[in-house]
Amino acid sequence: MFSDPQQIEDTVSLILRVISKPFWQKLEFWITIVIAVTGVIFSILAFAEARKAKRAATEAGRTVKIQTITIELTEVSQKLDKLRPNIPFNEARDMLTEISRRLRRIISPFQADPDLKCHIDTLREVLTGAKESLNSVRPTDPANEETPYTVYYAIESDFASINDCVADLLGLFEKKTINIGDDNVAPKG
Amino acid sequence: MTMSHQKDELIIYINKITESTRLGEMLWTRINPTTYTWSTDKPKPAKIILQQVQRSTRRIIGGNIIVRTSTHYLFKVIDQHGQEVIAVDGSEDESINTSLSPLYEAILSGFTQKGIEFLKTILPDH
Repeated sequence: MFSDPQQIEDTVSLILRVISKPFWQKLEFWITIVIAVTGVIFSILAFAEARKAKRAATEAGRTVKIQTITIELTEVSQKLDKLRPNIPFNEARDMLTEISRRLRRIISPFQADPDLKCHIDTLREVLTGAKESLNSVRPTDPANEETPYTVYYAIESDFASINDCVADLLGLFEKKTINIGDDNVAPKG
Repeated sequence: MTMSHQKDELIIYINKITESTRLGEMLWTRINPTTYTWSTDKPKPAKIILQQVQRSTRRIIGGNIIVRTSTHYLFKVIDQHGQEVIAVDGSEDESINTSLSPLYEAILSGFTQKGIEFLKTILPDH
């Protein structure tokens, strides 16, 4: 401990001299500021990169999903092409039920999409129309042999309309995939 | 004989079938709600099939769906071997479609009348 008054006075004057100097005139202050600002800048850059990576991952997932949808729509379209002129009622009913279920499952997540809404509404109407057409040829006596081509004549127009709607949706989904690709291309230079 | 004459002749026969149906001389069988058939064994086995088909076309105009529905008839005559002797699509010829429409109405009316008469027979007398 301090026993000499002179020593105490020297120490107090030294402390006063140190604290009387403004803190911004000290080198340590500026070193700390530089480190802090650099830290903030790197944090912002890291956040921006993470955000871009998240967006890219989301878009990549969406692209894969849309490609899956286009494959499914192509399968449905090929199935619609296979409508036989001598198709019996029960086979046509099974075919329409399957096609309707698959298409409704595919289109339902996009029903609010402004680019697809109109086409989706049309497809829903056409599917309902096809069911009505098929019901119009439900055999009165299922045990009796059906009259040839009756079912085909009743539903072929509706099936053609469904196929047209599927083709329209396929094109729009393919366009969406192309747009996603374009959006994600980084400008060169 | 030209196609036009053949068409006129066919329309004459369709009109005769319509008249015979109205008079109850030809009794039709319902295959399904929109298809009716008439069969005969004399002078030779044959079958006539009449089917009503409704077609809807949809167009997107200004974001709205415009639906246009048309009704046409398919008329077929099948011989004893099951071969189509005549197959006419009313959507391809308006004049034939127009002559098939009264035939379909006559068949439908006959069925309704038959149903009403049956209903009369089963109801208790007052």
